[in-house]
Amino acid sequence: MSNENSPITFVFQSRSGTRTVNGIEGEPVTAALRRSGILELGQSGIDGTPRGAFCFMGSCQECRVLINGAIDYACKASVLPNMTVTPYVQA
Amino acid sequence: MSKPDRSPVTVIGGGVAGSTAAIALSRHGLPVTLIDEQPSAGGQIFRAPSSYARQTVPPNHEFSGGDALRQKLATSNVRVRLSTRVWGLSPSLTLDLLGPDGMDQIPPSTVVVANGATERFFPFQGWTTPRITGLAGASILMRNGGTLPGQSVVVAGSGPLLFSVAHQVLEMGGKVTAIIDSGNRADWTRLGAMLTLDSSRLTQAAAWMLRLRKAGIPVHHRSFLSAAEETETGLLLTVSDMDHPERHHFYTAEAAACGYGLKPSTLITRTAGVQHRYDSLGGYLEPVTDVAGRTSHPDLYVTGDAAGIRGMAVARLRGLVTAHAVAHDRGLIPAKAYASLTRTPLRHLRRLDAVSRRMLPLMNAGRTIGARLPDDTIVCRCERVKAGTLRTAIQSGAEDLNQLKAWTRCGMGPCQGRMCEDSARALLTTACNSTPEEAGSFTARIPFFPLPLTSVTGDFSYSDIPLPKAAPL
Repeated sequence: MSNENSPITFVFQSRSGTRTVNGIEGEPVTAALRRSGILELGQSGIDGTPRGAFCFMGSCQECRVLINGAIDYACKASVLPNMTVTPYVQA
Repeated sequence: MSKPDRSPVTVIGGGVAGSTAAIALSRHGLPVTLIDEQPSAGGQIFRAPSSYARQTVPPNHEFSGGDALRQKLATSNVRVRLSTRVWGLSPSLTLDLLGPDGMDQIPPSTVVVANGATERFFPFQGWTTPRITGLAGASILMRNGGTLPGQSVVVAGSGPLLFSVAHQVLEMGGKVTAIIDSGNRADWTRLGAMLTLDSSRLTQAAAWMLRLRKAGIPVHHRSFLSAAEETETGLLLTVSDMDHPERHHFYTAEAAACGYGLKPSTLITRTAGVQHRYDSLGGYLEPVTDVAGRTSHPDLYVTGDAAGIRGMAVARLRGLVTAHAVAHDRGLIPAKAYASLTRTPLRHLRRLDAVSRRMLPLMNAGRTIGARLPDDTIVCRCERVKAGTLRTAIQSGAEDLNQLKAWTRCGMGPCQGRMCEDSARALLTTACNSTPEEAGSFTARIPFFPLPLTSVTGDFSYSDIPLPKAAPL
């Protein structure tokens, strides 16, 4: 049984360093990241410019990140304790 | 009446239309599976709030309406498969799914497509910065995520969602820096008069407008966001006049949300090969349906906004009527029962449909923006294709969207052209002086979204390949 409402922390590991992010278990990853001021979820594979959540409904594919190494949508995936989120760059 | 057909029905999309249809179908005694990609049913309007959002967002109609819908589903006989996406389908309507337990297939069944809408976008300089989100996206971030896009937000685009999102920002204690509407004020006034036919929407709209006016937020009509530039603290935004492009206003904000109305999601219906038409009022492609959602494929129905954008109240009624139509077509209820079950919903549907159609031009008020994009504006976000590249390809002879895609890679990225198709079409039809029908659509491809290779191959590895022992030389 997951513990909704529990404040937890997870790790965001990007080119600018490793950060510990506060979140509430079960909330969308993008929401917790945004409250911590993290908007850049990766870079365009074409021109290397920053990329972030745009449509929030699974169409634009721009919020894809690696969660514990597996590709997932940051707008949809739930915050879980001790997870590690890293940017994903489309080849 | 022929023998009743009680074979399974699959509903794609658990928003208002799909959930309503699924519940009504199961009441007709049909085995129903409802598929939704989100972890909870509700769709975009009734997206289930996170526990954080329940604490930070004041109670509202969407929360209570969504909770009521999810409660109804929970007590129904509908089999609900959440966190599950349809990534492909065959002409015989076999559905390919990716869910929490990996890949799955649903054998051919009657399919009710209720996958709702996609937001329409028109690009501008700098629109790929992470500080810019879609308008519907900003709403989802606030309502589902309980989180503001920024402490100050410029809201831009067209249609009623502009005012809804602005209101949500205020509700959460944020600042709306400005509202940029590509429609004109007179059209809104005319719509206001029409809304007397739809009292619930009128009440809601009046409440929003009063609150926005009290907050003293600048509203620019017949205007659009033409550029966004990153500063140290946020964005510098340029607002341009639709009719006098040399007139500008400037704003600074932490974030901006933009969206130019909604269009039906047609990847599934186009792949199924049903007939579509271009609705010039809405400025989008929609499947051809009758009032009950029947299509040119006898086993495929389309309901809710997926059959043309009409909003939540119509989606609910459409879902109900579609369910009764399936039951009738299956021989479960005679014509007389169908007529009596649908009499009231159809009466409301006709009244509300008239109001909703009047909203389409307001949602589509930005339609001239796409054709006028400066050459160095990125149109295709995935492949970073600029307007100038598209114009060059058009001058070289690209006449339809698929040629344009093949020549420039516009629309070839992982979003399958969902973000750029409307502006690419606008550039094409303007340069070629052609119709949207002639420009066509990007061909829908399976899979509908990128699939992780591991979900296709499972645990299979190279060493699992049975290699016969080589014959001696």
